[in-house]
Amino acid sequence: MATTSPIEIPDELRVGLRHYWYPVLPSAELPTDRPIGIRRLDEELVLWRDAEGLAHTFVDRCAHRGARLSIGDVVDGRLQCRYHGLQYDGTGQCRLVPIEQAEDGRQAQRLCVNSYPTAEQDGAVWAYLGDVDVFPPGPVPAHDEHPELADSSYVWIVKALEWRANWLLVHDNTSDLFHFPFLHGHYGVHPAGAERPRLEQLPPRNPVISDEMAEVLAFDEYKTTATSTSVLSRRKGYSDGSTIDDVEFVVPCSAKVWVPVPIGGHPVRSIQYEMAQDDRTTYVLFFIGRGTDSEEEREPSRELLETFCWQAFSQVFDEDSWVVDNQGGLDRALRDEHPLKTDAGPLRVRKVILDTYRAQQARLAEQRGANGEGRAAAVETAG
Amino acid sequence: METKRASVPRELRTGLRNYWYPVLTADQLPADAPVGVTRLGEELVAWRDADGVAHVFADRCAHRGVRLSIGDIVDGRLQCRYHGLQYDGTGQCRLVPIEQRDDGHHAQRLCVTSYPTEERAGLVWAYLGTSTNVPPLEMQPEMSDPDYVWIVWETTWNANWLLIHDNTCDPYHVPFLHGHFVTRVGPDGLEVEKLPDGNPIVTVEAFGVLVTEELEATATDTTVLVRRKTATDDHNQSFDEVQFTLPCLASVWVPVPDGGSAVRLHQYELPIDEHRTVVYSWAGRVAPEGDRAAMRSVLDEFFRPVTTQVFDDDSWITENQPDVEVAWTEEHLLPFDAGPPRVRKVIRDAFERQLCDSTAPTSLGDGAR
Repeated sequence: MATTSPIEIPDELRVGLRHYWYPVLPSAELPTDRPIGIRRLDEELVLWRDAEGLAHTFVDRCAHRGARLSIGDVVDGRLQCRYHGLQYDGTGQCRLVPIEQAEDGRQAQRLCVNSYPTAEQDGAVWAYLGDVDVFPPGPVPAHDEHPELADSSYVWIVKALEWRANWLLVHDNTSDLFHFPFLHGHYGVHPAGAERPRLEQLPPRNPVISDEMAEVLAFDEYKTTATSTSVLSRRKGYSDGSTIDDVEFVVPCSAKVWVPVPIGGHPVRSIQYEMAQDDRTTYVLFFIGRGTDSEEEREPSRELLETFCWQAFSQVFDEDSWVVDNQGGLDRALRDEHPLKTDAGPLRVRKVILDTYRAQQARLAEQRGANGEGRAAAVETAG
Repeated sequence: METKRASVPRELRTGLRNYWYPVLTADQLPADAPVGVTRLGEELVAWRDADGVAHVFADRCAHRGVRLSIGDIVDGRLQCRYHGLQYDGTGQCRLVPIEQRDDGHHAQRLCVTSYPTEERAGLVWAYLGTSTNVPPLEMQPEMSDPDYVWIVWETTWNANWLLIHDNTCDPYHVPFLHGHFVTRVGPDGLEVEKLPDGNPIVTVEAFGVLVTEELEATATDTTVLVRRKTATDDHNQSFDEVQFTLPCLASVWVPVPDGGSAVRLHQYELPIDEHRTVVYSWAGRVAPEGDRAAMRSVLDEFFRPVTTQVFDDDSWITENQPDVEVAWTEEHLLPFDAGPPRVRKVIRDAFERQLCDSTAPTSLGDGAR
């Protein structure tokens, strides 16, 4: 048994890595006529669309008395607070304090709410949750990190669900291929080769590991490699996506796998962003896609994703969520664990996340130092 | 822009102590069973002795701390459910059953904290404090006026009491937040008309009322009055003043469109705990002799439902503010927010006076030595 000293997780990191673009909501879930309140990285946010349909992300708090803007309304392309009727435009600037009876009155000009850069891409609303001065955001990097998303031969669906566990435990689970046959082995996908696949439930208790599954568990066959921003665990005989045989993590929080489809043809690509809502819950947004060889294949593939694949995924994630919830919270899980040789994936992923966080802290400290020196110089000049 | 960065002392988040508070309505306290309530963050038990006199204790048996409110009333005493200890109306333990007699050696050594208690105006009141100089319980003047009829009821809000008072002493949210219904006299008497929900539109009339005639706020050590400058004593013309009185009373005159006198509404808004507030509302109205039953039914069947609707809006909005500490740190008060800062100051000053009072004897003593 390996002995390890418990890993120390800084408080801030328990609720996610800031200064990244995050897909915070499927586009389809953000209507044009009302705001939506969400919590991501332990911050309450309000999403809404202006008159042009452009999405915006603000801190969910009116500048006046702090009421949640997400219980307000969208009026004339502005976000209106439900308490006193203050209206904000897409930049977060207050444009109307009704009591002033004029637009852009003196009080309105002095009020604004914090807004985050927002974009819409690949069927999701993306928000840059971070400090734009210290870490200036580029465009949404998803196409560089996940080239399939930009591949026009693919069809995609976007889905989301919530886990009752800390995001770091969720990533432990996702980057661990070895729980798969045991935890999820109680149902099979049958019949192989049929036109339409269906799920077959096996008895849920006392899972028995089949020979096929045992093969997956032969961990000597796997190799884990890491860069400063990603971790790839892959079977050495990796070939064509005919079994689940690799998983890749990319900072800040995406994991992707190939999932074979029992009727054959292109495997399914699942790219899942697993982000903290708060210390105890995780929001997972999925891009689920499949390559196609012709226009005619697109609709059947989309249907396969919407029905069979999402049903199977949801079942798998229910089980994962249940097990991770039963690790009893991040502190207990990390304090009491004894990682084995098969846990190389999770350990590497944690290290990449922790290293990224430390690099950010170093840069913030540097920035504060620079600002401090600037102020000192200014004081000296003034003196 | 400038804002006051005000931290809220932790004790103050659960209320000002050393005042008389209504803790439950008289109807809620039966003769034969104790009732547990939380007020000012403290668990209390209320019960009635053999003469029907109400008592309020800290809800904790002196022996092992079990809540007395899950116990019973036996022979005019409050009996703990765990080991059967019995307390009289003063909080003194009179029986430890194992001693097999009243006022045994152990019983004499045990007592629970009891608070001065009175029953008045349909409510059970307790003086929640440690001060030995308990002032008399005073009612608002109209409440002892025989020309008035009154109803009283309780509501619960899911927000800190300080945010509730911010809301109550802020007349400017009224047309916007509550503007989705109007009251009027219809063919069958008083009625409420619901306007469509969502996208509230502020009518010029609604804001005109509040803008063209400015409000002014005046404060004393114990009160704040927010009043329209042109207000008259005819309170049935429009909603034109709100008064706060320590420790937690908000009083308004509410016009009723039936041509009668305005309704006097007194609301004690006191903390249950840091996140919840209980509100005791009295609504009273001048009622000529012979007309009292009819007037009471107007209060019960029209006024209370309308007020409840308003409270539902207010409760919902204050639930959607952050915790009071964050709300007050990050807010940007505007010039029309005249009421909230003054009410907060009166409350905070009272809190600080109490801190000084409680330390005064000690410092005097030290000085004398």
